Amino acid sequence: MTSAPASPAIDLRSLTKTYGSVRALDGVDLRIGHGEILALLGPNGAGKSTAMEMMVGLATPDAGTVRILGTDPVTATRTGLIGTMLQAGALLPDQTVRSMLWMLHSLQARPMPLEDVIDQADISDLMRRRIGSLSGGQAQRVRFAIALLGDPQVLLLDEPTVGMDVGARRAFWDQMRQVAAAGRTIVFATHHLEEAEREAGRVVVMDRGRVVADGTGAEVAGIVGSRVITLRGLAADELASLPGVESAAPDESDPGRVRAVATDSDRVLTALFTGPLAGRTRDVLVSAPGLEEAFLHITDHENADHDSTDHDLEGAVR
Amino acid sequence: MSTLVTDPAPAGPAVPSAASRALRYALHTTRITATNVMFMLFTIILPVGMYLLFGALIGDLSDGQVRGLIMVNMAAYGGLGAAVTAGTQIQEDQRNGFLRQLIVAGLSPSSFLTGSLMAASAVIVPALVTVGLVGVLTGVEASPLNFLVTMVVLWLGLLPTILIGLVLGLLLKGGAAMAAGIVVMMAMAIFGGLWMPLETFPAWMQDLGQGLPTYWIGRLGAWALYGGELPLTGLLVIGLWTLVLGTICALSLTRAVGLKRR
Repeated sequence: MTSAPASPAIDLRSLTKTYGSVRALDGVDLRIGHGEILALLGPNGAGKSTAMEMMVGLATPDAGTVRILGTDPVTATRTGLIGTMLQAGALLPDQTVRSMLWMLHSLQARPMPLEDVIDQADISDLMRRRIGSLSGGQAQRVRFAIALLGDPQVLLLDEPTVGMDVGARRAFWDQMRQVAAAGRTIVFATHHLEEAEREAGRVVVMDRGRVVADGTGAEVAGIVGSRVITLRGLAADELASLPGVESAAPDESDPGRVRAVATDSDRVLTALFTGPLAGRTRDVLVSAPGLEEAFLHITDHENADHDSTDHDLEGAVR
Repeated sequence: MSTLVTDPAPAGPAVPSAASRALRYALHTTRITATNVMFMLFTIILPVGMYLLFGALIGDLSDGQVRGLIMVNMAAYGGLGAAVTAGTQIQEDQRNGFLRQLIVAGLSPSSFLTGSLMAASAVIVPALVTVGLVGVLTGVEASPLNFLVTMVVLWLGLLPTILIGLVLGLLLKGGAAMAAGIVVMMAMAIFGGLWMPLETFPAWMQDLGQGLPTYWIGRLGAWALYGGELPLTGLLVIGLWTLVLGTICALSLTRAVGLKRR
């Protein structure tokens, strides 16, 4: 807590927000320094989008404060300090990309020259296209361009690579690194854990409207020490009875397989291949858990391990 | 909040005012609507066609003055159609969530509303003027000044009908706004006596019609074209509709956007 800058790029304090009976944000505290690149992770409904909407004034907290570069979100938006790539942000389907960008560009306080935006978002090939005819990944590039129009110091990207294939995602992050090199503060939400680990210097995990982990990518990934093992030939309860297996169930995405979450995959594999099940065990796959498993893991241990994990990490980071 | 900046070129170091942003938004929305070929065709062809039809049937009555009245009524009808359609169409932005992009780009909700109003006011002009010009070309006698005043009076009188379109777009979702727009437009045209003179209707319909802005838009247009006594009641009715609808617009905007103003 000692090295926090005097006026953070983004300063969220005790944010709460309730939509009907749903608690979207439940006391979020988060300070993000100038030039930080931060990944915001969390399952759907964790509160990421709500938090981002508050940073640009599209939503207001029930309690708590939001400051962007020392000012309020609405002023920050109107003066072009902050730019946003909204999740599934609506576009004008009947217009060309150029026509729509021209309109949004004209509204900016201190716009980046349109040619620079086109270059940095790599959309020169899309400018004449009708927006309704764009693929999901192309539309994301256009949304990225929209976020850059105001030449913002703080850039929010809500799931920027949704709908992109692997090649497009790689190209997007290549562009992104150039944008980041200008010293901008960048916050992005994603479901791809590896994107967060690779691109962000800091990873914040949200769940049920709270910040549940905050650290470097490696630190956060380390919370989930478990591995996922899937295989054919065994019943779920046979697999569950092995040492080192936390839980096992039929694989939802492939009915012929069973799927286990293992706290110690080496022990499980040894037991599998040296024990009586060896003859029937086929097609074994071991993988690091995705974000989904990470969250199952975190929320499964909410009362016992969770709080201590949280503190351990904060201790590690600060 | 300061003066209007008419130059939409990228600003220098100064942050554009709310009025400037509203104007820029209005210019771009006008551009986008005016290049919508279907919108322009439908809002112009229908009233022109109806003018030609009614003009051919009964235009020569009263020494051709009826032709001028038909011109006024059909210009008003064309403006009404364009106003309601434009109002609901502009709100499409808001319905599909594009308004969030506009706000994140720096446009305030109130600038969005005034900009929409300006754009809708602009895109009703072609329908008005085309009916007027076709009228003059087909025998409506009016001095250039009278013609101009008539057009301006009709244009100003149509303000509440633009607000109707905006209100419908703000309060109703998706196809409902368009459908309601058509129903309201037809009702306003028929009960306002734009298609057939109100005097040919039963008494209760006449009473109803006299409470509608469309009836008075026609009357004011006829007054501008042919003179006579200024229908003061009309100014009152149109003013009242404008006031009520403007208030509904302002109140429903923050709710529709899901934003609380600071």
